[in-house]
Amino acid sequence: MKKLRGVLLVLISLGVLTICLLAFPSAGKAGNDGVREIVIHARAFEYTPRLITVQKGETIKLTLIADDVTHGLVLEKYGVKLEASPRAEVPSSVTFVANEGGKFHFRCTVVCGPFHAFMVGEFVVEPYNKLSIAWSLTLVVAGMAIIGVQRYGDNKEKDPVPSWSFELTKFKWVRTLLKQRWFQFALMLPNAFFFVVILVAAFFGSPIGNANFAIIFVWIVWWAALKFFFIPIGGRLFCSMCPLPLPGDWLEHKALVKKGHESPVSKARKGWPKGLRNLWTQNIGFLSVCLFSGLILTRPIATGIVLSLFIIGAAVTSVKYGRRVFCRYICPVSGFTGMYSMVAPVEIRAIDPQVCAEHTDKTCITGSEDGYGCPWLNYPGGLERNSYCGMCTECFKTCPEDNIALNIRPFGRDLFVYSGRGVDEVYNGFIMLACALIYIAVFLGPWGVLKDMANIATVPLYLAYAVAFILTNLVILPGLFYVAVWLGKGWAEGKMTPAKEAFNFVPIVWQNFLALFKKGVKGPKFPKNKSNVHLMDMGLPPVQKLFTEYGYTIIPLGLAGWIAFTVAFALVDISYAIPLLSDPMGWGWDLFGTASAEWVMYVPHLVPFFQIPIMLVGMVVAIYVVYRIGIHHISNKKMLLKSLAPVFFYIIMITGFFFWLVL
Amino acid sequence: MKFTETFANVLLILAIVGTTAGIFLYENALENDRECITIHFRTYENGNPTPNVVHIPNNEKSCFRLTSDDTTHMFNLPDFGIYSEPIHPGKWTYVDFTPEEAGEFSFVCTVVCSPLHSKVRGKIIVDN
Repeated sequence: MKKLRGVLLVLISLGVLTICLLAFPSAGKAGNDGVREIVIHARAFEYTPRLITVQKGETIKLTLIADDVTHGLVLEKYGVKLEASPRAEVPSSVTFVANEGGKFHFRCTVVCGPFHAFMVGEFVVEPYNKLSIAWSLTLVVAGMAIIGVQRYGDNKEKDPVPSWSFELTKFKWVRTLLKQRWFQFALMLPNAFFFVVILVAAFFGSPIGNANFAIIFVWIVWWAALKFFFIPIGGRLFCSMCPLPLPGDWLEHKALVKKGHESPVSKARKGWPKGLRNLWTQNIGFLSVCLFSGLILTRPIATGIVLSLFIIGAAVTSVKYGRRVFCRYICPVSGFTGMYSMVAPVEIRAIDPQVCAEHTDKTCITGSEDGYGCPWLNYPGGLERNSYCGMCTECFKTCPEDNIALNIRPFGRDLFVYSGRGVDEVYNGFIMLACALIYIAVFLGPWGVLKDMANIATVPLYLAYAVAFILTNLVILPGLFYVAVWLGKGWAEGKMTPAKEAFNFVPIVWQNFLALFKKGVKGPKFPKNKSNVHLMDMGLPPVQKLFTEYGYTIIPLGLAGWIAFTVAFALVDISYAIPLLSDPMGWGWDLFGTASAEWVMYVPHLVPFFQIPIMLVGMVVAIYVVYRIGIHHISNKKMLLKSLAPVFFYIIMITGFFFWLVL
Repeated sequence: MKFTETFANVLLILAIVGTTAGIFLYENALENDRECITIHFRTYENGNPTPNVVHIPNNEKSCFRLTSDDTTHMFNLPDFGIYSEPIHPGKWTYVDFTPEEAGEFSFVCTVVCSPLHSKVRGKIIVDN
């Protein structure tokens, strides 16, 4: 213990020292007297050189040469603008003094193809040290967090998050509102309207992504709203107003507002295959959508097709199984929304479990004349986590005792609920984390080859991308975490779990994977968890169990990563939305007089100042979460710290890697 | 309840059918008022400028409303010495002129827009 604390203190002091040295850098090398000429070649979708480094004070002459089609260039902060057509007689150039230190992106200003909005280069005016500062900060903050959780988060008896909750439904008008049959419809209707505009724009509007309502309002406006507000504050709030299941609901209920026909809950419970009653369908679905994100995010028609598939899927499953089987088990957006909603400070819970236990009719499951039985196939009386509660408010209507509450509560409580967990949920967290990191590289990075891969420029490139993508998501990131957990357990117990035992699932997964391609062959089953045996002989839980438990630390880390990633593209691209309000189809309308608004970046140079704190908060929360989960399973403090040390290392490395990508 | 249900149905139909119909009717009305002929420029690979053949009357001022569906193009009618400003994707460029001669004339693109840039062309037919 003492030793570890000593090491941490040394690390922290080193970090502080580095920050001090970096924050007050010695004056940069004096610039040359002459003008430094830099020629930038532009092709879709890369600048060469993609990284330009100059010294502060230098006079720079930038020349832009277009190699394939017309491109432009605007340099953040400096506001320097260029535009060049291929084989231009007079090259386009500009001269300016690089009098501001830092790293600035330059972006294409002339639509040059689908990935135009992601065509960037990096212009570094030395001295530049944000990355080193961020890395030092990471070490300092992580060290303080690790010491802090031991000092202040050590009491197993104390709740990991404060136990208060404030019942919103105490206000009579809130409960009355939630009990109205029209309530959810009223939320869905405006979204249905926007959705129709989105679909019409996707199929009939301009094929240019940034001139099309569908692309900008789905992938910039809605996505940013989801990541900044709906998920971290509202949990599954968007699910309550999502218009996609509306046609399916109508087909099943034959009614919009009034209580219509309801399929028996057994139809859904028995109908949907038992092996798929988990997040795996959503995990695979999300991965499949992400594999084509290069097309979906840039081609309106691809967005239209994907959204249409969602609607059709929801309608078909509504008819076949009844209820929201689509939302619960299939919708790829629902999967990660559910996982991240565990962090949100709102919840729907039973007020008094005793009342539910004594209520024999269980109208919240079967439905009553006032409302449908839980469309998400939950038992609302037993809700402990937000993960699968779609906030549709039906249980407020069906509960005759008014025993359901909408609560405001502290952030993150569900991360410490130990029932209902599974490796499927942990994997969802890893997939989200991996996708965030990959997307940052593909969409925010300067590497044209990554954009070519995601854009399916050639089939071999795309295949390489797909394999790397799937491996990163399913093997590398979770695998490294698994190894970290394995090492930690070995260190704590003083002997490593033999690899043959720790990785015994690998051949099973592999054989199951092979069995997918052979008809009539079924893969071997997974052995049952033997955790209790291990607990009894005072060791740590088996590696697989520890992986599933510690894995929930990825949820706050991944959410922070997504918010930080979204900040970057939202500030840069959100202004595309302004002309689209007036001209949603890209047909040359001007409904509100904003059609000619130009694209501008909002404070792009401040992006790192949002990203660094967001990511550091995510890291601290992740450290706290995994520590508290550890306390729950391991009572010996020494063993706990040893088993967590590699996990802490993993969290710190991910944070550092994130900073390397964005700074 | 019955009223609410009917009302909800009407609102939803308005949101779905009304919005869709509204979008196309509005565009239709705008198009009828437009004096300019819309041409979508596309690279040769993407199908060339659409519509590709345009009829205009002789000795009357004609106007073209140009946009691009892929990358930057430029409109050039060599026989009349007419050049447009660059046609950027998602934006509109206007060019007008008065033909003084009937016949078939080719228009071409004057900005390199793809490897097959030189094959980008369309036809303007000046009717008598």
